[in-house]
Order: sequence, then C-alpha cells, then structure tokens
Amino acid sequence: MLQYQPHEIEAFEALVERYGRRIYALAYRMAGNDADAKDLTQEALIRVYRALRRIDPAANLESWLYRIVTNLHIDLLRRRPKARVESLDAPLLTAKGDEVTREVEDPGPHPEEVVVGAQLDADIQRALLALSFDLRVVVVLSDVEGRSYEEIAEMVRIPVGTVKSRLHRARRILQAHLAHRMPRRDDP
Amino acid sequence: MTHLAASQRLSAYLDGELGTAERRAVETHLRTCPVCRRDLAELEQVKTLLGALPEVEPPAGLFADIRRELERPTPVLGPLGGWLRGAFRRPAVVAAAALLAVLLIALPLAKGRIDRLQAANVGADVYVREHALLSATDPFADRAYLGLLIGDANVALVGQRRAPEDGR
Repeated sequence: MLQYQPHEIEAFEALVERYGRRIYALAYRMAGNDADAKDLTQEALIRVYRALRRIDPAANLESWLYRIVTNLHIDLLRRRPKARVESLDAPLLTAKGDEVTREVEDPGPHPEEVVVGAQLDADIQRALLALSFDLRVVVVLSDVEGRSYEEIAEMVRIPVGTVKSRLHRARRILQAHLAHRMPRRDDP
Repeated sequence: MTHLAASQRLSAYLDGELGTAERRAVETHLRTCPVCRRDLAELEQVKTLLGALPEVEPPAGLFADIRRELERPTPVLGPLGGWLRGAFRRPAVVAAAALLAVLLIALPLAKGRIDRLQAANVGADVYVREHALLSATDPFADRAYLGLLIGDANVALVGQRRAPEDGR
C-alpha cells in the first residue's frame, strides 16, 4: 500500500483540483457517455496517484495526463469494441431504485436557428463518435480543448504533419455530418 | 500553389499553423478559387461549433468517490489478501490449520528417516551379495554387465542412425 507524506497528498489534491474537470471533460467528449467518462477519469487519477513520486516536475503534466486518458480510452475500446449506446427514452434508475425519464430538449420549430443547447450538443457528440478514434482525439484536442498542433503532436505522439492531415479530415467528415446544423452562409 | 495543395492546407491556414510562405500561397489561391473559399467557411463553422460546446461538468461526488477509492487499501495479494484478513479474525481456525499442515509434512519425513535407519542396520553387503548372485546365474539380466558387453558393438536403437563404419 502506498504511504504518502502529507505534502504529497496535498500535491495530488492540487492536481485533482486543477486538472480533474478537464480530464473528465476530455474523457466525456472522447467516450460520449458519462459512465465511461467517469471510469476513465477515475482510472487516470488512480494512475497519477500511484505514479506521484515518479512524476518529473519539469515534464508537461497536462499533456501527460491527456495521454493517460487517451491511452486508457484505447484500452477501453479494445476491451469493448462496441460503443455503449444509451437510449434516450429508456427510463433511468435512481439510486433508490425509482424510475425516472430523461428530459430531452425538443429540437424546436426553427431548425435554421442555431440553438447551442442540449440537442446541438448531442448532435455534435454523435458526429464525434462517428469518427475513428485517431481522428476524434485530434479534433477534440484541437477544437474542443483548444490545443495547438504542437501540443497535440506531443500528447498523441504523432508528427505535426499527421496532426494537420487528421484534423483536416476530421473536420471535413464532421462538416458533412453537421451540415444541417450549420448557419446559412451568405458569402459569395 | 495548386488547388489540391491549397485545399489540403485550409484547416492549417484556418488555425494559423502555416508558415509565412505557405500562408501567402493559400491566400493567393483563395482570391481566385470560390470552391476553396466555401470549404474554408465550412471548416470554420465546424471549428466554431466545436469551440462553442459547453465544458462538460463532472458529476457531483466524482472526485470524492475517487479519493475514497484511493484511501481503500490496495488488494496487493488479490484473493489471498482477503483470505489472510479473514485468518486474523479467526485465530483458532488458523491454529488448527497450521497444526494439520505441520503434521502432514512432518509425518512422512519422520517415517522416511526411520526407514533409512533400518536399511543402514541391514547393511550394504546385502545388496552386494544379491548383485553378485544375480550376475553369476544370469549375466544378461544385469544391466551394468550388459552395458559393458554391448558398449563397443555397433548397436543402434530403432530409428537412430547407425554410426558410419565402413568409410562410406
């Protein structure tokens, strides 16, 4: 069993405080559902905790954490090739065992109007999940997390040129999937 | 810059990830190519849509759960660890099991030692005498003698190559 000094526990707490939400957010965008995102976050933080003494303070901690999450996700996909599908109309069980139904936002009467809400979010998430893992990780890190090509190359351990081409391909595919969600263009 | 080269660089152009020369070349191409202008606008829409996604909030209690998970002693010994922990709770059972284990190991050991002592009493000459008798009455039954007899004959077991003898 690991026995850490109080200052080491504090360092870990600070790390969870600082990166925990980002890790969950990335895991959620990659996995597309809360249950897997929670598992990935938990597993990633447990690995960080076990490796606490081996962490190089000079290393890029954030990119290391992201790499853990993406690697764990690859493991998850390998173990379970089929993506988990959550039905939107199936009742959910609460902790007490009661059944509740999900509240799914109505798409609304004006499809042309861009509503940044749950439905759009779900559409984008579905389009992301339709991408292969390689493309998804690059586009999520770039466009959702706002990372530079250089950072992504380091996190995913691929050359910058590969980041460039994968991101381009990912955006083209997403564009095709989300064309109905795009605002009307007025440029010539 | 060709249309193909420019169209493949539109994402990087959008992200400001091109070098000066490439950026200028793409800009020059864009002025004359409506297709690339449209593609660029579409790529920008995708980027904007993804960028506008709200940050997903972790469920309440997730990090508390993880901390609890970490505080739990790690089951290094796996199922054996659980067994050991159970043992500490029932010392009498453990003592009985230990005694049984000691007896099971010690009894055959003790018996073997007694047998060896008896054999030593009978003496080594019994074996020699028996061997001598056997060799005399039936020499081919004595393996050691037989080995001596056929050791230099070119005898091969079935399936084995006979050692070359005739210079071929």
